Amino acid sequence: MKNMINKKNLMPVIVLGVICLAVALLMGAVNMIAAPEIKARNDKAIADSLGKVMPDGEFDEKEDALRKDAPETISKVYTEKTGKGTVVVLVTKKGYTGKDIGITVGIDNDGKITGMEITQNDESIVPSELKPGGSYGEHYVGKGAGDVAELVTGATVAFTESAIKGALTDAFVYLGFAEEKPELPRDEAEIFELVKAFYGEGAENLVSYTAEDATYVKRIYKEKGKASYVTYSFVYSQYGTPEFEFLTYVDESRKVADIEKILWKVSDPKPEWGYIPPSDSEVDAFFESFVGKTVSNVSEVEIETGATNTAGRVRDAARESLEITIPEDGSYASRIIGIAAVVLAVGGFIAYAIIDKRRRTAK
Amino acid sequence: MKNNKLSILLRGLIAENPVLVLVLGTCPTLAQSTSVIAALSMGIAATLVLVCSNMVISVLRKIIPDTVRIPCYIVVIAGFVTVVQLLMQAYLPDLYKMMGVYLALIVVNCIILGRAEMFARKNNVIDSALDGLGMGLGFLLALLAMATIREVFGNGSFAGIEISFLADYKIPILTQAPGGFLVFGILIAIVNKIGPKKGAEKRKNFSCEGCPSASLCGKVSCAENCELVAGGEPDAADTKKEEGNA
Repeated sequence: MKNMINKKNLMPVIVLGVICLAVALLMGAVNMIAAPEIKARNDKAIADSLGKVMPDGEFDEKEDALRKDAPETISKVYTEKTGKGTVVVLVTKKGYTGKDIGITVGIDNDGKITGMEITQNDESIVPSELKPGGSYGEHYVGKGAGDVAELVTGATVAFTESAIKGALTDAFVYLGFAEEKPELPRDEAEIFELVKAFYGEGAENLVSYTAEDATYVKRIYKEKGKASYVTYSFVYSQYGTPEFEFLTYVDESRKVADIEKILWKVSDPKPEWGYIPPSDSEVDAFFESFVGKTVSNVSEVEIETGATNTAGRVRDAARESLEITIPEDGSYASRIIGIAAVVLAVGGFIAYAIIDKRRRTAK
Repeated sequence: MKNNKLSILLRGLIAENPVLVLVLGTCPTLAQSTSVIAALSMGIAATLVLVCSNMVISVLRKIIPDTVRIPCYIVVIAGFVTVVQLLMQAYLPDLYKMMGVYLALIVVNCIILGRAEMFARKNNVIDSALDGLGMGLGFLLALLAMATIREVFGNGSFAGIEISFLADYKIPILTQAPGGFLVFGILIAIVNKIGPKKGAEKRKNFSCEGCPSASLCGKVSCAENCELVAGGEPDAADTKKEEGNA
């Protein structure tokens, strides 16, 4: 030990230590000069961006810690220092292409919007008022959670507007000015009854599964031992675009054997947009055209004029129903066999190791 | 003497250009040469770090033990990069944002560590500063040349100013990574052609000076090593010359 601590070994440690210390001092000195300037700039940048949505507001450089139940759209929350309200920074991906839309919104203590700005919009089609710095936010000033839902802005990009309204609703929910909407529009038992009625014979043997990694298909219902199944699809567009629910019966050859519309909620006609929704008979005919389709030709179904986005989503949902992975009936049995095999293998190895060691010791 | 100092300064520009001849610092070169402003900022920041780190390493060259020289160089370089980063964040925030992560990555720019290892640790402060300045300017020059070609022809602008008559004749691939490699290759070919040494330098002319493996290698020169690998004897005259250089 003593031999190890000699000049030859110690010198590199000392030199490296001294150099580290000197460099740290240099960085500290520069930081002392630069830090106030950096802080002033950051404060100004935050005040500039947050002040646009909450005029005369004073904010800390550091945002508030987000609660665990914060919706994924909320990225930052700043509480105004003098108690005027809160500014929420949101990023949503629920537009048409799923790209980021950044929103900064100020909400006062009465739950009214003090200002709203689009800070980022990576969607492919963006009207000028929906671009960063555009005038779109002006529509929302003074509106509360309920008003946002009903607001007609005149913006013609329905998905983007729907995504923005959804994100704003998340902000209202987070701040306690609105209640969170349920995941599905009706409870499980009610859906099961609808499926049973749709399925007919053998309905009492149906087992319900939650659809994993699916956007529109929420539940899968099937009889054990059968390859056919029924899917329940739902798209909950919070505002702006219609909602729809439907059941799809997919047979053994992965073909749509039957399809039933449960809900097709179309927005009120808006003559100022020149928007005329399709009639009930047109919608029924549209759903009917899915019967007999497979994954390869489901995209041939022509979407409905007047409900282009919604019909497009129905088609996507139908394709999802045909492509979805169905849980295997024997999944539990196969898991148990798999686990047993692993346990046996590991146990066998350990037993062999012990026996081998004893044999060597005996020798 | 004066000529010697001038040659140290000038050789980094073309003859030993770090990017186009020594092929060092390729990553920041390709990443930051999409716009002239970004290239200029990167070049200036790297030059500043290069000069300062070369000078400090030269001053400390007799103190730093061989075994910890690389960690010491990295600490010094990282310190200067942090200083430049803090100053840019405070006084040039737009440039700081534009350079993004590449500013911090100057720490691992092999030109800087390479010059510290190859030159600064064996030469005096003034020569090291001149070498740093020359190499930094060479880096800046290469970056500017690449950025000019890529921005003008790829984006139809120069330093952010639109060139109206090129607006309809843009070659967008030049602003992407493949375009960067293409321009990089063409510039290397041009420099190789017009530079003072045509073609690849013969290996036997390299000395062990600056070779990071020199202490492990145990050979007198690269020529000796090459000959041994090839199965022949080293050229006596070359070996003698290399010994003299070492």
